[in-house]
Amino acid sequence: MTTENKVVETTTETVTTEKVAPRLYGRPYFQRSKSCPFSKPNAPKIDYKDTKLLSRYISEYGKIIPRHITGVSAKKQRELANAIKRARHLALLSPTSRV
Amino acid sequence: MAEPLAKLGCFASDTTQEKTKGNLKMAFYENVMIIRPDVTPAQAEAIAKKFAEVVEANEGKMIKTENWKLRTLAYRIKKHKKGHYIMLGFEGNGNTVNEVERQQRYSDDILRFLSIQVEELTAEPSIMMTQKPVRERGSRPMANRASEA
Repeated sequence: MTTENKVVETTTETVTTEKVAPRLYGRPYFQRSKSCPFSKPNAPKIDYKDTKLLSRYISEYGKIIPRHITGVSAKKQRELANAIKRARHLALLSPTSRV
Repeated sequence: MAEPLAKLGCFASDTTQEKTKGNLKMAFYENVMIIRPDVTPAQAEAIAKKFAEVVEANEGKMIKTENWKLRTLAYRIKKHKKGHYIMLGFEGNGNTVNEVERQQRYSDDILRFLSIQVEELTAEPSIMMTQKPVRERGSRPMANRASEA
């Protein structure tokens, strides 16, 4: 930065390599050090009929919870989302609430 | 590696009888349908049997039929709050699925249906039959909640 007499409004931004993310309601944005619950051995199989399992991955308003909160891997999140959508089509899950 | 490829039935040299009918790949399918709650349970069973026959008549092989009985729907479908759920598990090809779905589309009794291809299908009961049912609202008085597992 060149030294000037008048006040310079711009600030220099240093490039950091750490994860900077908004804080959501006091909870960390990223789920740290948790592995995908479906990728472990003896993990439950994602089935559109298993409403008990699926209802753990939808919010209280029926929305699918993003994977940065649940820690699910990308591949399994796609499977999960498809299963939830199938269950919604068959009225096994409500699109607007957790029940 | 020859065995799984032979199962696909996509080679002209494949001579397994069942798998190469009409050059279409045989796969496992699950079909779930929701029937209007007005029909009696006996009629619902009759509909399930009818579709089992449709499958058998169209190059298919039934593996299992499940009746999830009358369930409360998560939202109203065509003004109905409950419906009979029937699940068919069968091995078939595209023709089988097309015919089953075509009949379901025309049927007046069937509200919704869904066909899914699955990797493997066994005759053992699905999770709907084995899992303990979630207690429906208002079906048990509040006082007994403490004794619930």
